Amino acid sequence: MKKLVLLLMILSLLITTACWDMIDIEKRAYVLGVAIDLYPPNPKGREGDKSEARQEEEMPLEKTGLYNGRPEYALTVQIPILQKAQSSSFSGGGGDPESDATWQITQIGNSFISMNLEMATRTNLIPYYEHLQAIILSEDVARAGLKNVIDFFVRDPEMGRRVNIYVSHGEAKKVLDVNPRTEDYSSIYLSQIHRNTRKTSRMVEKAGLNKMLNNIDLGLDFILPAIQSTKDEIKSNGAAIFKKDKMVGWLDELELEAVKFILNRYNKGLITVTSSAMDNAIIALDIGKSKTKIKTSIENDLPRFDIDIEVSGSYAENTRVYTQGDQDIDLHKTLEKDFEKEIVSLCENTIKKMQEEYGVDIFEFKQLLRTREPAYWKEVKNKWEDLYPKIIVKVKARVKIDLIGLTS
Amino acid sequence: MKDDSLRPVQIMTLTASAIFGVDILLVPQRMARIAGQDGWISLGLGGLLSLASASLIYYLVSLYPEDDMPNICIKVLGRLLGRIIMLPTLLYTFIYVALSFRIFAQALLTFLLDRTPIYAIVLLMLLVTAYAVYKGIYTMASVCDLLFPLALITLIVLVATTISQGRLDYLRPILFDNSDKVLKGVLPGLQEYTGYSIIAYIYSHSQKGARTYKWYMVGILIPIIFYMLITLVCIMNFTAPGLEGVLYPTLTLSKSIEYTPLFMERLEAFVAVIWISIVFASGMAYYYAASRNIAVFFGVKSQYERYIVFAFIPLLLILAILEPNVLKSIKQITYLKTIQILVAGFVVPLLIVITLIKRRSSIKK
Repeated sequence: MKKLVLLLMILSLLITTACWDMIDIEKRAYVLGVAIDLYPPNPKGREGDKSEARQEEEMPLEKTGLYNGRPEYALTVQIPILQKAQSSSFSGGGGDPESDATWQITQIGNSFISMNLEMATRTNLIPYYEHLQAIILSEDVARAGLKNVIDFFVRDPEMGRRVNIYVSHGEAKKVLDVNPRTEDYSSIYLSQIHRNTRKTSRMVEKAGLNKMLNNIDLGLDFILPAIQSTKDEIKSNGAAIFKKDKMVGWLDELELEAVKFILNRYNKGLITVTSSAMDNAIIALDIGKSKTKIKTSIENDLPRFDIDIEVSGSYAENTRVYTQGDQDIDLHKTLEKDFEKEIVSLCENTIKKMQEEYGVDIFEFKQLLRTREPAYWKEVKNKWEDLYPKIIVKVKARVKIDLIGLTS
Repeated sequence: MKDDSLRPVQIMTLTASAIFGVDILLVPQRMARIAGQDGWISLGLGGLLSLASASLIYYLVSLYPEDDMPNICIKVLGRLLGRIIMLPTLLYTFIYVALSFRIFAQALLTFLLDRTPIYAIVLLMLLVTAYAVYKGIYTMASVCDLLFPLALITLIVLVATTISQGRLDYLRPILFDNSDKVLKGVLPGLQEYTGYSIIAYIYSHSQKGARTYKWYMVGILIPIIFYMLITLVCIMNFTAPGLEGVLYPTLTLSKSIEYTPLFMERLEAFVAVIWISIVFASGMAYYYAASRNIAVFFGVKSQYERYIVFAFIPLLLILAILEPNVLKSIKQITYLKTIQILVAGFVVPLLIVITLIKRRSSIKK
């Protein structure tokens, strides 16, 4: 009996040796970043700016049912070349394909899954998306609408919902081609930039796929981080404004600060004023804390939003004199008033621009109405588009200067 | 050491394990489809109903401290009528095992094992479950004792890490112009807890007393609380309209924990692993109930009873791989649970009434 059991145990070792789905780690192509461009990349009036894609990277798609005459998108994925990762981090790169730590493959087509499979016919590795860090959309793709693009990234079980999304000025593929100095892979470099939002509020904090989907599901307008790239750096440069799922314009860094004030997402940052009380000196306030409360009410059948921004920070710089030396508390009071005016005008101008120029509600007023005034919202939800430019928004700011640095 | 009877705490772990199960993946989506952002309220109300219904079942089995459900049916209604009234429960418990393993395998195929054939996954689960059931109720209780705390800790971590990244305003407005849908969701909410009827099969093995009842109620309360919490957190993370489109919200939730990549980036791996054990524990409870039902229905002698556990593995396997479409399987399991609601709602009170009438008349005699 004991021998029989032993025999069974040994036999069971034979049939339980491997996993059906095992893929060796070095056989996987860990896709770090994805860039999506329209194809051809520069459609109207910009033909001179030729794409640098090599001929073999644009091999045409097999003609399947998904192929409707001409390819619409160009999908570029970034795959690390693991063997070269160590050595190239010291060589500095430089665009030479021989020394790059990554490989950018571009495939054109209409559906993303078919582009993905087509790519698999061109590499010896198996594309694997679990560790995807960034999805970069070109401006044209964003303007054409996100709904055409995102389904693959939501439906595919390898995708997580925490991947970051960016909109690039110009070609998205170029962002992946960046050779950053401090990091081997441009996608990882890019996906870590947003960590600096703890220092400045001039860029968008982490914008994951999940947040974007939530906004689309609720029918809200929203912003995504905008980026710009050079040969060896990527800059988070304001934001792209989306109405429903279509991009309608850009938001510069100062306007973005205003949006973050209103959304109560302001972390730290700088506000400057030209102070008439101090001989037109430019004074900078280093904001340490900001808190925004919005009160919703209905006035004459129009929604009214009272935005109350409470800010405290330190007196950071004065461009006129080396030191003031007067320890004047009243002066600080006037400065506080100046900062308040600055914040209010910044916010009001941005709101006005969004209301009148774009007609987008990136301040989530719609969500406030929907959740706080549901009865009123039920009446107006069908005519919200017409109503939005007319809503009453009052901005109030209270600024406190706490610290003044080392000089008085 | 072999226990003589199940301790009250074990009643709790067995009950909670039976209620959790493959549904833990599906509950938030189902409730959001029915009642939108107020789905969690329906779940709570359904939970209250389930406590009431569970108390009724508990009362019935406490009238027959030595028998479990199939025996009670035969005793009260006689050999033929008893079997007829047993039949829906028998089919329900039997098919539920197959269906829940199928949905489990489908989710596993999607997330982890894309090339493993579905029969291999289901067969392995069936073999392990059958072995546990073959070993008897005390082994099953010990297995649950081991697995249940792990499941609970994982669920707590999952809720704790995702509740802060969700947004409270996605839950609002609460109960505005939506109360009819919330009420409509109460019965489906009750359906999510159908595992509570496991008491009808394990009570005869337990230490009787007030403490058993107390822990039994706790065993139902824990799933109620966690189902509500997970639904809440899912709505806060995905919004109610968004949640309707997420097939396995609990797994997707674990895949959207936003942490700095240095620490616990892959918490979803834990959730996936623990969730397998959750499905296993619930499948085990239903498997046991099914095997008891079949043994009594066909009058299998008690010395052979434990072997019939293995006899219906092939049938369960076929049932489990019959329907390859995910959406259809999910629909089927929802329909199936209606049977249990009917049994708990009509058969149990009927049995109680008949028992009481019989006892009264026998006292008079």
